[in-house]
Amino acid sequence: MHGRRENNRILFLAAGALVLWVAAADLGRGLLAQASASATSDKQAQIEKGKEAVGQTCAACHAPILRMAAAQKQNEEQWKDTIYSMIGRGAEILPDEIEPMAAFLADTSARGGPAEAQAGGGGGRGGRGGQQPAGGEAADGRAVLQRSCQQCHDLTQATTKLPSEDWTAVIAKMTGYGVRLTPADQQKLIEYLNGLK
Amino acid sequence: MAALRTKKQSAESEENSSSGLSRRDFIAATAATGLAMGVGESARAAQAQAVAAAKPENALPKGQPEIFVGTSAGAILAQLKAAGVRTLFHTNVSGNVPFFEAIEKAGDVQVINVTHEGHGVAAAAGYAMASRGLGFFFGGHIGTGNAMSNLYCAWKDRVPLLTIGIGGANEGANQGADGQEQWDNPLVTEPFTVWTANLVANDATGLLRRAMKFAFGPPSGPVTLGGGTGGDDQVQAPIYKIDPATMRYKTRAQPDLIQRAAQWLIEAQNPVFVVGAEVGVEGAYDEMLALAEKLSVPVTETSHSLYANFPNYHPLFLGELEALRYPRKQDLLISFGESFTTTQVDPLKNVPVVHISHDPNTLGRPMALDLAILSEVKTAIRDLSDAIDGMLTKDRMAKIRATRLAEISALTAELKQSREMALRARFDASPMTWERVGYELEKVLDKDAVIVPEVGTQYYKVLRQLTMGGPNKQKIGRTVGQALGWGVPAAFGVNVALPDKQVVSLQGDGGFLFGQSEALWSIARYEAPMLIVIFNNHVYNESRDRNMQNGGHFYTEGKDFDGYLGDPNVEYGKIAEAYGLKGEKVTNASDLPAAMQRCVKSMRDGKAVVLDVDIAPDGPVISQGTWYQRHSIAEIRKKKLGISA
Repeated sequence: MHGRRENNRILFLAAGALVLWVAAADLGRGLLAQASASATSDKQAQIEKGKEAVGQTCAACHAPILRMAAAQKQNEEQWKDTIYSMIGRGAEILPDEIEPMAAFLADTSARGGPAEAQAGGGGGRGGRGGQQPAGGEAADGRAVLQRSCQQCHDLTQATTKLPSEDWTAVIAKMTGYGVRLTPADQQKLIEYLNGLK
Repeated sequence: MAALRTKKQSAESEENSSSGLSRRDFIAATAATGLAMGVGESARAAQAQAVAAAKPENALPKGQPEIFVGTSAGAILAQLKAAGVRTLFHTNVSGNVPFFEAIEKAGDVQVINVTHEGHGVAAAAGYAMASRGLGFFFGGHIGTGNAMSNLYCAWKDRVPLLTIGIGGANEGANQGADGQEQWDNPLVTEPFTVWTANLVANDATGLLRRAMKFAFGPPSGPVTLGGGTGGDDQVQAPIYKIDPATMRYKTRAQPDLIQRAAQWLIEAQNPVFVVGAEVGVEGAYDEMLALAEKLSVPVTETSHSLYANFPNYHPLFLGELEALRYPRKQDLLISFGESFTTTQVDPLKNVPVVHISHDPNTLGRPMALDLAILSEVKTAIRDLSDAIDGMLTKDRMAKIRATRLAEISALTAELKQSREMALRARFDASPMTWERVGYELEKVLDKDAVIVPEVGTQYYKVLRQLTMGGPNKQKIGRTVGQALGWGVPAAFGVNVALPDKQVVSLQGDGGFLFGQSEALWSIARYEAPMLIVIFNNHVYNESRDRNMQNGGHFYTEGKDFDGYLGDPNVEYGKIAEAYGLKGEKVTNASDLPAAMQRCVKSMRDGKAVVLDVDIAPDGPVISQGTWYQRHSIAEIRKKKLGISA
């Protein structure tokens, strides 16, 4: 009897330990997931801060900064070196913006383009690009947009206009600034932009 | 025998010596105008102002001249001397014996020989920029092509410069005959000069005086006088005393325009000043500083500001206009003598702009202005300051000043911290950073050394490590023209003008290879104890960066047809040694401080040094690339040569 009682006690303890282990594992997974989500969120917040600083700082001299970032495929440390180099050249970058800018540029490098462009060629900050189905004339129009407008604007800006303007007037103004667009391309672009929801 | 025969001392012309309006009168007139608000004024207003307000201080001298009797070459020298010119930069040519005879007789004129007309023009330009006087070069007309690149730079920099010989064409009986050393177009230098003409013996000194008037303008710039007769014609020529300091036409803004600018400045929440070359040219440094401090207005410069026009360590100094990010909502920009000729004007497109310049040709050229003010900058600054004094109480002024200064100071302190982080991030790296070299230069150079840079946009990495402006280090260049091959001879000209200053030429290896090594000959001949720093990154980094920054085929392939310079790997210090100068080469950062000390000692001992520093290229990863399109004549030749030897 003693042995059986002992066995039962061991079984009871083992079951309890199992329950505790499972509970602890669940808790751990939860905590890990929470921590991971928090880290992702922190990283995303850092990237967002970096994006804002890049927009305010780099685009003044490097209009196609996002295309540059996509082309150069640098990691975060390499981008930090580049940022230091630009600070030396006179870029007005504050100390707490260096890491976020490097994170954003590295993220853009890794994605092969800005996040919103990956999501569909525009969006964010009120932009509307990319919400039109690809293919056919729309694809042609978007190609003109990417080819001609992205030199100086990110797609967000390039797909946003003032309520009082129409796209024909905007395109006319841009060609006045020197953008080279054939009449056919202008028409494709206007139709594409008018078709954005 | 040539001699100066005095008829009568020339009388000073009082009527031409001032604008005729005292500051007190001006302030009274300003107060009487009231306010005239509104934007959208065209730059055409400048032309009206030019008529209304421009008053020459000393366009051409009046009174009784001295009469020179002798050769026309002697007359030319006498007129140059009467304008204070004692230093003549020169490149070898035949046919100047009468001029040299006159120089020898004068006894107080120095000829500085330079081995290439382009270097001669750059040296004369550097001399003029450093002395704020007239630069002079004479050489052979056949060297006109050689001179053109640096003539262009002097023209872009608005340097008062006079050349004789350069630009001459065939005007004799054989026009059209394609004779020896002849061409027919007499205006070959016209695009890069403010005036070009041909010397004639019977009006040589008159032409020279008009040439000086054109050179000082405004707009100021080079004048080329071609032709000539050899200089041995006998003439009787009038000689007038000329003070180059008063040659420039002096203009003063109409009071209502100053009043309007002052009102806008007071009402603006976030005004910004841009300081330009005219501040340096006019010596308006103190006035500029005082005005900025009066209301704590942040100050910027353009990326190619010719001089250090504002202390770069001042809490109000924000650096380059192109990089301007703060204050966030600029609502007024006032340019003091910045021409904007090479500046991206995008940062200005939504900001009201007031442009003050003594040069009517500059106002409103690259952009539409909201208020164009034609005035000597120094006077305009004082007038603006007085107008503000008349509009604000001291308490109100102090409040604006204190609030703004606190904000800007906090910002500039943070930006300084970022620069320090950038310096320290790669402080010990080898190859070295531009910042590290600047840091070491700051430690060893005299407080008032003069820096003559000819490097790409990386130059700011060096200059922000140096304490510049006012009684501190000065900067001359980089030439706004940016045609490479200017820096070393220009720095030599600066040293000729400023023998009591340390002069430092900052050169990229690529820029030095634009034919500059021969300038070391003059540096050695005249024992100019300069420091020439070669930032040797073995690549045309600037152009490669621009070509590759957007990626593309060559970026992914790692190909750069014209960028890589490391093969052959030039030993620049040894080039210096070939000219009898001292050469230093540093490849490891830890060796840099000691090498700098040796350089300074050599300068102190009277010998120039070429310091070759191994610099890390920056920009895209492709900057490290060493590819070039290989071609070996030795390998492809099919015939064995030199067998008989």
